[in-house]
Amino acid sequence: MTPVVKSLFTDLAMEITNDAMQIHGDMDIQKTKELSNYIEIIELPQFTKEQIQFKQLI
Amino acid sequence: MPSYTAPVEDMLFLFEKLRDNKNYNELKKYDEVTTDLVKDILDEAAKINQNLILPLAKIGDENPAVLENGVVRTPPGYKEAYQKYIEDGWTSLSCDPKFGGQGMPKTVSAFFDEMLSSASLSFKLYSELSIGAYNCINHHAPEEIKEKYLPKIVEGKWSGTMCLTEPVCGTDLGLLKTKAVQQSDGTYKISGQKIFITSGDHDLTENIIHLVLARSTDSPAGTKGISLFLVPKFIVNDDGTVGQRNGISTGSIESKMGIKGSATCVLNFDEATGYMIGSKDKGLNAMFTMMNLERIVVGIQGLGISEIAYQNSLAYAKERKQGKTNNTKSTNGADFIIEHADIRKSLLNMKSIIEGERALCFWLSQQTEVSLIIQMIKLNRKLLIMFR
Repeated sequence: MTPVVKSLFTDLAMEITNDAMQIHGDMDIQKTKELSNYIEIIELPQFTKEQIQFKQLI
Repeated sequence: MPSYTAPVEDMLFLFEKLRDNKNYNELKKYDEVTTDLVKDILDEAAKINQNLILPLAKIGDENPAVLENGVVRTPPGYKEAYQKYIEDGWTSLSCDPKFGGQGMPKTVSAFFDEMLSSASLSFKLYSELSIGAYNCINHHAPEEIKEKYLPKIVEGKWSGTMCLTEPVCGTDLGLLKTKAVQQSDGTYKISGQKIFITSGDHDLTENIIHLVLARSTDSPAGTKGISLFLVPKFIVNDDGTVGQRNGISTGSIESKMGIKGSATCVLNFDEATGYMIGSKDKGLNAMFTMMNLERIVVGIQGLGISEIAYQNSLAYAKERKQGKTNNTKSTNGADFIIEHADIRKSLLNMKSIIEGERALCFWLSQQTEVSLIIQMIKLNRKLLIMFR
């Protein structure tokens, strides 16, 4: 178990410190913004329409 | 400068909720270690780490350890901090009271290790291997060596290292070339080169005890011919005082991207006097006592670094304003980035992994303690049978 902990925690520390750096770079905000724009402007009406059609089929 | 607040409440939660472990309870060794006592220890540990050790991280990064005229100089402030660190008895936390230790469980020292890793990993590495060396000597060395070396290691006046890797071998220790030649007085002359030795040389302690893997001249090739030797930087006199310099010199120190305050050394052994630890050709078994403990501590380093990275990114996310969220309530055009869904997801992911890691470390520290004590009991039984 000790080698597993050594290796796993070291790998996870790499991931966590990388995420911490990305937070300092505001990276995920852009991703969320783009996604929300995509849903609001383009995809959401189509999705709603298809959803209605799907419900009618049922 | 990064900020750090030791997660004492989370640690106490684990101590209260996870300490009830069947094998561990059977040891009956730590029944007197109450939650109140552990809280007092962790509160003091938090103070020294937050106030004294944390500033050393930046100092160590800006002023790396250097090799001057064959001697390693640690960054400014390390000596004073180390003096306070040993005066307060932090090196002896989980050591046996027989050698001057405080007899605390390894679970408590694991919590302290995490705090120290978060505060300054470079500083931590100067004392980290001492505890591994202590455990290895305590489990495998003869009584006279224990009595001569352990009290000083426990006190922190002497430190320890683990010398395995060579230019030709690392993971595959069967290729090891360092040789040990037996002398008429029972000691050995050790010759060879060891690389990547953490805290191989420094100016914080008056002596450094190297635990070196080497091959005796009449031993077979491969891993079955490796023995373990105790090789002090300065020969220790019979009265326990530090004597003349042993045949060990520092060739160079590694230039690293991180932990620059810690000296990672190339050590040259030139007919250095060494004392065998454990049985001949069974050096790897003895070294694994040290390695198994060090592996957990290296895992804890990852945990400590993760914790301080999480704390600082959380603080930043609460003060940095960028973009608008879908449910914005902001009137001046931007929300705190912690309001953004993906930032929250990242932070929660970090937090949950860290808490899981801490719990696993706690459990593993308990299991290690059980296994070490059971090993000792078995060894004592064997000795009793042999001398009956």
